[in-house]
Amino acid sequence: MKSVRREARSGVRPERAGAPRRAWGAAAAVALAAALACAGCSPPGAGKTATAGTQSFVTEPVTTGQVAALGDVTLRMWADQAEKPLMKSVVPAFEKKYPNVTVDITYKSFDDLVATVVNAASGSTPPDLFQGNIGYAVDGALVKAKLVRPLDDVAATYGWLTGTGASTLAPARWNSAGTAFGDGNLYGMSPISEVQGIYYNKALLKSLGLQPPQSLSDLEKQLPVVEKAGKQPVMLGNSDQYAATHIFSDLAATEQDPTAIRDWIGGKANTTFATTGNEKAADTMADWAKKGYFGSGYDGLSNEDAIARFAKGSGAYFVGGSWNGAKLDPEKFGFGALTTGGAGATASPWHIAAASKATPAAVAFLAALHTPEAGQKILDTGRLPVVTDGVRAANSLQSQTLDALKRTIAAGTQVGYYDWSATDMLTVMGGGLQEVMAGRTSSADFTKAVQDTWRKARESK
Amino acid sequence: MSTVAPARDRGPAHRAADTGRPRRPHRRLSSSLSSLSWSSLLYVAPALAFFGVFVLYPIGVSVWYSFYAYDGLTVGTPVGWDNYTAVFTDSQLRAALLHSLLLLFFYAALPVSVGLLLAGAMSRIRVYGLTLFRAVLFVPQILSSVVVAVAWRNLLAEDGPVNAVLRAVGLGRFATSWLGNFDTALPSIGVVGTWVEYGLCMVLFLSGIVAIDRSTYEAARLDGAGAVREFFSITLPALRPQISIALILTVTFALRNFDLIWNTTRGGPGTSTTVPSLYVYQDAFQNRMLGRASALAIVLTVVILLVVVAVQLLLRERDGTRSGPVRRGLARRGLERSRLARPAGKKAQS
Amino acid sequence: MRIARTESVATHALLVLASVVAVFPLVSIVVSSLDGSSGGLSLSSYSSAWTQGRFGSALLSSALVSVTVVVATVILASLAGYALATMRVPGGRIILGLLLLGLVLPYEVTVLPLYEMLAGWHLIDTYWALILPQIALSVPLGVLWMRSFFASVPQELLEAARIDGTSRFQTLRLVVLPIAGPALTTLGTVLFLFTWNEFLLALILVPDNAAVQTVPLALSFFSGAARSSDPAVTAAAAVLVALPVLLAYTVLQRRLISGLTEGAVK
Repeated sequence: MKSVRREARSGVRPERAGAPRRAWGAAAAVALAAALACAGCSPPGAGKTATAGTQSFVTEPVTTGQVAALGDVTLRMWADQAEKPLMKSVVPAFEKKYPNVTVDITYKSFDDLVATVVNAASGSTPPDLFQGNIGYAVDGALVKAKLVRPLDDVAATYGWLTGTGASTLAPARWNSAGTAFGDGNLYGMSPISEVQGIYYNKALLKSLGLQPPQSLSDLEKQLPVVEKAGKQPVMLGNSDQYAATHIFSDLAATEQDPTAIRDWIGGKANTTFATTGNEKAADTMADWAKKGYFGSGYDGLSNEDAIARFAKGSGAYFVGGSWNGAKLDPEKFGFGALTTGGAGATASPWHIAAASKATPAAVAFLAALHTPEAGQKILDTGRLPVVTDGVRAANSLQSQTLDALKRTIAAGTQVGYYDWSATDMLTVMGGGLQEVMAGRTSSADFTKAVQDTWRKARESK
Repeated sequence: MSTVAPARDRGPAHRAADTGRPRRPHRRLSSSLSSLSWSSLLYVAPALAFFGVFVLYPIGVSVWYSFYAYDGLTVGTPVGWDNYTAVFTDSQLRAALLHSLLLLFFYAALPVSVGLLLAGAMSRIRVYGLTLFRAVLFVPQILSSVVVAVAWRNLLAEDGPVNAVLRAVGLGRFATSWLGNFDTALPSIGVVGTWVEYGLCMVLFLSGIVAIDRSTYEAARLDGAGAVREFFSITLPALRPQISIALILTVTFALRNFDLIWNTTRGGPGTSTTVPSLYVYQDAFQNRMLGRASALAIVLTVVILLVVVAVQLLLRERDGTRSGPVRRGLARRGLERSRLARPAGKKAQS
Repeated sequence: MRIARTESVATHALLVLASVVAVFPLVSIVVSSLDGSSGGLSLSSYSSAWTQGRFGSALLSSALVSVTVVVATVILASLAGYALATMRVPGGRIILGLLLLGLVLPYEVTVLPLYEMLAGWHLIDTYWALILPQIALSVPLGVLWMRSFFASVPQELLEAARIDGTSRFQTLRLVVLPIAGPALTTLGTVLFLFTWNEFLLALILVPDNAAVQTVPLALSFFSGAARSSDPAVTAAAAVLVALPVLLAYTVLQRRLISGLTEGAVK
């Protein structure tokens, strides 16, 4: 028996390796047949016409009576898991005020939310209220497919158009085709804002005899001083490709009219990225990289790791956004803006499903998020509200960030982020900046490549 | 006792005779009946039903999508072959494909070699703590790619352990930010891929090795075969089915994998680590361009099939020229026992 | 047969080195998961990962889905692999070609068609949405693997069974499967692993039912939130995902080895 078995083993069938090759021809034929058979198919998505529900316009604030008329109802929501602390304080109060409503929230990480929310919104039972994401991939798709309810009536009724947060609504405004944003009907609202700027290590600056930088020229004077002292000037972790684009946008915003930047990001016709201001900003990035102001190995370090290192004391400055503040000790770090304001934007907007059967409850919930009370809770949970009236900061770092936000909004420099301009812009810009900083591409070629991507995105709409 | 007749001991006449041998003896049970067995379809049908409904049908839908500009929501516009011409004219995609082909070496060739080396070494001796070693060596395959990415990003960082080791042994001038350097990022990702895959290969090979008759090895050792010859004469030929499947899996992984890259470099620095599947994912889930994503995925599938088939052919070729005679020698041993009996007492040395 | 002592030592040294390389990243993850916010060692990351990520129910879901997929695939693959290796199946070549196609396909692109199909059947957010497609995706590897095992079974064994008048199905059940232990265990291990770690299908096909969600989703709850999550908690979640598989593998290995010795005795 043993010898037989051995023989069978050693005589392993040579045809095995060959079989797939012959079979492959068959598979290719099947695939081709499928392709040809489908030449006469109807286009995909034909059965999916949007079911825009009958919408009653909101002309005065939703009353508890209107919500009660819904009967026992569940308000289904999808939210970024980062909203959990805020929701924990908002939801109980809401359920108390509207006892017939049960709030049921599905939390997802930002990445997962972005990947699944459009599917969910287009399904047969979409959540009533959910967060999207600014830009074409999510919000644009939602608007284009008419899956979300316009909120102009709600905004007018609740006074969102006149308060301190009015200008923060812009990124949620779209043309009806979903091809350009920044202007048009309002389709979403975010109670949370963000501001970009520069964090600094107080003790390190003090030991070098430096004052917190108030402007870009201040910073440019200080960088060589820090470098000569043997410390790394700017902590940067750019392996995710976005951290450097934030520094770039801060630099670019100091050189140019914020309106022009905003128009370009929103996709306004006849605007361009190939400006001298942007080239100059890219050159500055390359220059700083060459002089070692970002240290070495920044492209191999993630942004998270960079923040962790900065929090532990390496690096004099960290260019980032208000969301980074939660990870920094308010006693040891300060925040400032490089321009009169600083770049920034709102967090992911909330949308009401067009097909929602609990619209009054959803409107009431949005209204509850857009109040000074909610604003205070947002600040307390480490972020910045769009409603800043009467909101009090708990420490110096918070008040510095809040001040920067107020000044940004007042100065109208809240331009948003470049990567909103096209779905593949983050890759193109992030990768391109890495090339510029490594001295492998000129700033002119970089701005041209970015503009090409922007143009292609417009053409494909 | 029987023995192994190593290839180089054979005369040229033998080798010439080998090249003309028939490819395969008729061994199949039913092949002698040489008629199709329709009832055999009953055995295949359940698997095929699942496969047809949940894999083939969606592939068909993807082929359909690939001729449209479609966002998954609103009615698509037919674009003919445009999505395909876009795939072939995009210079970025060509660069990405080249990166993938380089990764083949790290994701497929190296893990299979390392897996063979480890499995071969483990097959020869009594390994103390075999269970432990096997479990431990399999760990990389178990971890999810998010974790692998985080761990390796730290290992390969400018101030990470890899560079610390380099500096400690006086090779500090080679220390760099491995994933952040335009020249080293792609090979570094390749090394991570090797690390992930070799455990799988090793396990596949071990399951083949344990099925090899121990007496084959004993015979070989009696005959004075060393570790290397034993490996090439017995272990390697016996593992052909496992190697074949390991290569299909690793080649596919190499050309299809994106999450390792997504979680380490996002295709950067610059575009130095982009791969086609990165674009498939981005088009399908970020850009909502399902037509383009489908066309690219279909082209990629064809490329993978071509590479898999080429590798299988290569494997057969090598088998025919190098280990073929030995295999035949082994196969013949049963018949030649008495003739090949060796003087007793000659011990195997390694 | 005695092998030189030096080789044994060298092999063990190689294994130790390879093991260090293999576990070092895992160890580094474990270390960072124990990094308490106050600086000392702490298990707090594990408790917050466990509760926030709903690991209790996620582990149960994953176990249910993985075991079902593995068992079903192994049965389907044994039947099909047996037929393809020992019988003349009509269209066998085409079947093999299609299976190979399924094995190499970047299936990311088929996930959305799959979503539409399952949504039409009202199976989204159910266990079926995870189980059915994953059986189908495991079939190609399973069939090709089992086919290559059955092809290596000595023909004389099958011949003898045939002469005894054993039906083909009985031959599979009574003659061939009993010696297939190692092949089945290896296949089961690999499929279990693939199913356990499958993320994209779970993300898209069970978006809104926490009770059905599997452990990779629980991990992604932290790892997909670069801005807001704590790296120590993410690391703890990663360990929680990997640990059960490591345990299962170690246990299965024992089965594998004992199965082997049984086979050798026969």
